[in-house]
Order: sequence, then structure tokens, then C-alpha cells
Amino acid sequence: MDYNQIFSWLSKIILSVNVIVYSKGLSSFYSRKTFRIFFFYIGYIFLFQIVLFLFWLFKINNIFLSHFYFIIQFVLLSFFYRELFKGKNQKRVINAVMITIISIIIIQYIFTPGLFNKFNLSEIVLTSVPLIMYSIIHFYNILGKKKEYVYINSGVLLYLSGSTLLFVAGNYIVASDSILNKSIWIINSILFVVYQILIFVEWRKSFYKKKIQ
Amino acid sequence: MEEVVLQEENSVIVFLIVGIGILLLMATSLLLFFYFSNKKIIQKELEKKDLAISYQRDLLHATIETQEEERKRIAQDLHDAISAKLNVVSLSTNVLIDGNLDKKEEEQTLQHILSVTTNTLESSRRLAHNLLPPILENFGLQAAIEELCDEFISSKKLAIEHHINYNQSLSKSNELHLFRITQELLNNSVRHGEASKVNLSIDDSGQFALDYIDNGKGFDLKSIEKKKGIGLKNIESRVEILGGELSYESEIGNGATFNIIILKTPSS
Repeated sequence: MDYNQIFSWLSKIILSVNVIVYSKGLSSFYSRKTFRIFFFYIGYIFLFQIVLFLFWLFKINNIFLSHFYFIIQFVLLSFFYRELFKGKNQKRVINAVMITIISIIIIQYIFTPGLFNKFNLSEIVLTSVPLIMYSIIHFYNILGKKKEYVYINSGVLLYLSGSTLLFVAGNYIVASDSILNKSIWIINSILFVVYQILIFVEWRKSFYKKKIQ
Repeated sequence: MEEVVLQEENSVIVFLIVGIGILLLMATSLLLFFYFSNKKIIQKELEKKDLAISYQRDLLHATIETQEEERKRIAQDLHDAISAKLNVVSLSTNVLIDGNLDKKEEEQTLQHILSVTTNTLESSRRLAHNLLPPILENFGLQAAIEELCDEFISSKKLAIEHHINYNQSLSKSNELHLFRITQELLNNSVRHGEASKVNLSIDDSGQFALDYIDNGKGFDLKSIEKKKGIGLKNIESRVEILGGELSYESEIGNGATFNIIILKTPSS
């Protein structure tokens, strides 16, 4: 087992733990829309990992799944940030950005269906950069206030800033035969582990003790 | 040929790694930036709260001190002006009851008792008047301030020039605050400023404005900012209750100017 696999399995384990602990929090925090949306998000990532594993098991090309991954992640996290943001204008901006980007991507696939079988650069950039922006805006919003979802937000910022460039280069990496190129996916695995750890820290700091109250 | 391709691939990888590294660095520095800004903001807020609390505490101390001083003064006044005099009356009455006096002495004693009781009555009236001037209750701020000025003028301590144009725009309790402020200003001018002339004008035609100028010793603005006397704090908090703005100017040896403006809101 190489390092890449170790990190990949580690991230899957932490992800499963996160899904379990967050689902336990559902009973106490079900009334909070942000919490519900975030639970859907990690639940979705978890299911996605299972599907990816099955595809890998049956040796089916899974690149086309990346489109669902990026778009659904974008939509769910957009909903999440829309609940988190307090200002009406900020919420409106998120709605507008979401509708615009999804329309652009749909139009793109209608005109160039061939993009479906590889990494779509514009799709990756369009669905990741707004989320990075939202995370920065959220940091700005909570300056001097109660630190809501600050760890998850840090995770989103770190993971997306690092992995976006990696996915943009994805087509090149997949096409290449060099072993070194393949091993660059380890960066993604490490970032994903960090992301999952931060999500776990968020649960520990914000939701674990409050459950007892 | 193969080596060239490999080299090219490796350079792309290096480029990728460097790019990701730079992006992560930027994200991390952003995180740190927000973390430290947050800390700074909270620090500032704490300082502000501390300042507010210490101001409140000072105000409370000042209030308690004023209260104690006032109690002492009233006790002194009661003792000097009333108890002592009543004692005299009681003694004289005892002498009368004993009946060992001739007609002339009896009359003298009665006269004495009469004059002492008249005096005491006057003293008690003045005492009550000082605590809450009835003229303020009955005739309003304008009359009360005019009377206050007349009292100071007749005591020959101060020459006061006053222009008062008041249309009863303030509530009764606010009138009392304003009266106390004027009283405090005049007292300060006499006690601390050793002023001989005061110019007081109250104008109520637009917003409520009180201008007060004396020709006393004045004070140093910087040192007064650091350590305010009870009188000034008292004025400040009363102006705050009135929802007005207080500004003052002074120079050592050049008198002092006080300015109070109360903006009229529909509710007041």
C-alpha cells in the first residue's frame, strides 16, 4: 500500500466518523438549516466515495462522475453559505451566482457533449472559485462576532484552494504515463484528510458539548 | 526524445506543485490574517468595555460621594440652624415655666423665643428651599433660575448678567436637572473659579441652548480631562440624562465657558 492509498483510506475513515457524529447531532440541531445542509453535504460526499469505490472495483472509467461531484458540491455548499450569510444582498448574490454558473455549465454540455468524458476545466474553476470567495466573505462576516462554522470554513478554503489547481491539471495527469504524475494525487488526498479533520474539529468544538445541554 | 518528454513532464509537475503550494500559502495567510484581525478586534472591544465600566464606576463613586457630602451638609444645617435654636427655645420655655421671673424679664424671654422661632422658621424654609426650590415646582425653570441668580447677586458674591428666554419645552424632571446644572455652575464659579462676573444666557427658540461664561481662574483642560471633579461629573451625567451635548472651554487665568445644547425630539 503506498502513501496515496494510506491517506485516501484515512480520509475515508475520518469521513465516516464525521457522518456518524454529525448524524447524531441531527436530533439536537435539526432546527438549524445550516447544520442540516452541511450534514447532507458530508452524507453526499460519503455516498460518492462508495460509488467511486464500486466503479474502481469493477474497473469502470469514473471520470464522468467528477462532473456530478463538482456541481452537487457547488450547489450544496452554496445553500450552506446562503444560510450562513446574514445580509440579504449577500444571499441574493449567492442565488444569482448559482443560477448563472449552472446555466453556463448546462449550455456548455449541450453544445460540447464530448467534455463529459474528461475533466472539464471551466466547470472545475466555476464551481470552486465562488466557494472560495464565499468562504473568505464568511471570514469577513464573522470578524469580531460569534465564530460560526469557522473550522469548516477554514477547511473549505484550504481544500478548495489547493485541489482546484490539481483538478484543472487533471486531464494532463490522467493522460500521462509517468509514475511521478500519478503520485501527485497524494496532494489531493492529504488536503482531503485535512478538510475532514477540520470538519471533525468543528463538530468537537461547536456541537459535542452543546449536545449535553 | 523520450528524455525530453520526461523532462517536460517533470517541469509541469514542478509547476503544479509550486502553484498549489503558492495557493495553499495564500489560503493559510488569509486564515491567519482573519484569525489575528479577529483577536485584535476583540481586544479593542474589551478595552472599550473596560473603559465604559471604569467610567461607570467613577460615576457611581462620585454619586455616592456627593450623596454623603450632601447628607453631611444637611445634617450640619439641621444641627446648626434648627436643633441649636430649638434648644434655646426649649431652655427659655423651661425658665418661663419655672416662673421665677418678673414681668419685664418674662417679656424679654418671650420676645427672645419669638425671634428665635422666627429665625428657625426662616432657616428651615431656606433649608427646604435649597433641597428642592418650590419656585421651580410652582413657577417653572425661568423663574427659578432668575431667583437663583438674584440670590447670588444679593449675596454680593457675583455679578450675573442673565438673558433667559425659555418656553417650557422641557419636562418637569428635566427642568430640575437643568436647574441643578446652573446651580452647580454658579457654585463652581464662586468656589473654585473665584469669579466676579458671570454671563448666563438660555435660549429656547430653536434648540435648547445654555451658554455660561465666567471670568474666574479657569482650569487646565488637559488635567481636568484626566481627573474630573464631582461637580463637573455631576453636570456631565445630568446633560447625558437630558440627551444633550456639553462642551466647555477654559484657560488658566482666563475664565471658563460652558455650552449645553439639547436637541428637541418630538417626544420631549
